[in-house]
Amino acid sequence: MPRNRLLIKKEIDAYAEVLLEMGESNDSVYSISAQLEEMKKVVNMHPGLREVLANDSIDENTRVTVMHEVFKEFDVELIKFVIFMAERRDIALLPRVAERYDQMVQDKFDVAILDVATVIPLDDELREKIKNKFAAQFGKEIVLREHVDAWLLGGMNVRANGRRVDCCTATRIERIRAELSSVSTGGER
Amino acid sequence: MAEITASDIDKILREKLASLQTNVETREFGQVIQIGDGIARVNGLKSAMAGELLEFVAHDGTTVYGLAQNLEEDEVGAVLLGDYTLIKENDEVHTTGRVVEVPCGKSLLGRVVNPLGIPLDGKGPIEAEGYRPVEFRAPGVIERQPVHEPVQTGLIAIDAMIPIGRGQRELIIGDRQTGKTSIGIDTIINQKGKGMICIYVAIGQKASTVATVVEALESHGALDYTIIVSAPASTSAPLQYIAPMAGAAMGEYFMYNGDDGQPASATNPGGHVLCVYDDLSKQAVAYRQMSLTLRRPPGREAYPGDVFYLHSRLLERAVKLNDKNGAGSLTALPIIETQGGDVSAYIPTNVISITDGQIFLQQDLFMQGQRPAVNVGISVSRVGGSAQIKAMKQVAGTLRLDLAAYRELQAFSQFGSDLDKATQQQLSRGARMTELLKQGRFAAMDVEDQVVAIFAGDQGFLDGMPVSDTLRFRDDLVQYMHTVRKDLKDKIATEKQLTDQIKEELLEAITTFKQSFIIAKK
Repeated sequence: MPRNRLLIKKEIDAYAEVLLEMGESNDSVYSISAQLEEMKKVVNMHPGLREVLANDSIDENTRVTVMHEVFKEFDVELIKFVIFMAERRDIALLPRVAERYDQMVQDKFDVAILDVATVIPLDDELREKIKNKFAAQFGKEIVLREHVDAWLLGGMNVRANGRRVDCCTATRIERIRAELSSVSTGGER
Repeated sequence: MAEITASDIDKILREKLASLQTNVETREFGQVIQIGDGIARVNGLKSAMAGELLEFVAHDGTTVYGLAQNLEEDEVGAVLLGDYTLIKENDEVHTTGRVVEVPCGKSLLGRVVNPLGIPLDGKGPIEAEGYRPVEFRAPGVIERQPVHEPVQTGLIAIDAMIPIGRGQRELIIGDRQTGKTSIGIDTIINQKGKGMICIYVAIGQKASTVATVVEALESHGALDYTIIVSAPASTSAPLQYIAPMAGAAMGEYFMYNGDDGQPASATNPGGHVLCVYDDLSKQAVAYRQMSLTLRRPPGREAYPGDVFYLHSRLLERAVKLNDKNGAGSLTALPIIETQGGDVSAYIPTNVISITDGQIFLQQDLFMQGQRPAVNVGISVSRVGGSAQIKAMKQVAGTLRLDLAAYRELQAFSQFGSDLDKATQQQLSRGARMTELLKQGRFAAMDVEDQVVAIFAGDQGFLDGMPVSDTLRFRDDLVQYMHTVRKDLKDKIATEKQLTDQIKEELLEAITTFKQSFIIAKK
């Protein structure tokens, strides 16, 4: 039966608050944020995994084993937390919890979290440049979540608050491809 | 076809590359979290607008457009307008800041396009003069004026008793195979040379039916001023849903702009447009499918709660603009198909209440050979006489009532044969007048011819003749007026009313014709 959306919202808040407390006590606020982002991506990309985690007919031990197997490189406490969510059949809320968590972190520490994807890892100089540039734009201290993505070919992608600054080579090439493939000398599409 | 050379290709490629935008792009993005049945659920897109055009980027880089429909707290429900099989979970979605637009302009005339304006007729690309949003606010009260100019359908039964005016919304309703589409097509064909742009929107029909319509319009020279928007049954529900609105948008371009393409004004008159939506019941079914897959709560007959608003906002776009706004008009002829003559179903009652009248077509009349199978008793035009020329008002003023009385008497007379002379006379006249209203397909009549035919019937010229001769008498009379008494026909066309002198001349002409008709028959 569908639940009241306000109750769901409160539940999401509660999950995010617990995570924030956990992060503050372990001094891993930003690391949790980055791991949640990765977890969100994995859960989103694998509907089968989502089903397994939310399926009551699969016994709990199997589900815990699957979680440990999939997220073995992640923080043990965080995995326990996600298993707890799965037990309560709330795994589908994970993307919203991650989003809410980021929001809480940004509000509490007055920072802006930016996801930066590059082909090779950032060096200190570039990291500083990016931080300075976006700090001026956001008026806040910048926290970077760095990702390496060979698909970009060059340049970088910066994401924040659901918007993306796309200045990677792959997108530019794609734009050229789209522009040239739309050339028409007559006839219909 | 022009030959394509290597230098042409080189030139075009260079132009394309020169116009390429290479600046950094900042865009809002989201991800597809679920897709199926042409519906996508997307997370992110916090600032998406209702009805906004969304860009879905497939894995291979192909862009498929979608329409934002459900704006929820954490996700957006969207319908896809293109090939949704290309889109997979986790594909990226961008907002565009635009609503769905369709190409407009004279270059669309004579073309068959899909609801997005993409040509389907193999006649090459369309160079649009402009673009208009599919959803557009209907003009307010101040911008309008009462409907006062007629739209001649060329069908006596309609032009005489259920007149349609420019800017009116007249529903054509009836069961399947009762001639609903034929009325729309005949009306379009009859607009030749009357300065009317016609738009025929085919929704959820067989592609072969649409091809037949195109063929009919082409063979009668009506395609030159007609745009056909085709969303056959094989197209996705979202395309069928936007088809009538796309047709209205294409029509509005001509109404809101003058002949020179500039905005219409007191000095730059706007165009007159006729839109036939064939049919809105199928659009409602497509909308129901979309709404159910978007998980909107079902209401009566499982239609969503806003299906009335869907049709009312479409039909409110039919308008007669005031002189200050160019006096253009958009006339809407929506078609609704009933099931087993049930007009009390949800969609028929909705559309009946929205429109300014309805033309009821009945299966039994159709089977009896009364074509168009209009039931004049329950058909009505709420604009009435203001959309008729005076001559027609003079001859057809009491026709509806006379025929209603005839039908009542006809039912009564079946119980006995002892009828007084007056009743017999009334029955005889009624039978001939009913016969007079029969008309074949693609046999539209000018309003002057209609006036003459009804005048002849009304003055009792048909009374002594067998009912089976009525149609031949009418057609020969029209022919006679076109050849022998063209002067009189032209006089009616110029004066637009039957003066005493014209009446006298008309009586004399018909008397002469009748004598020759009887002699010829013998």
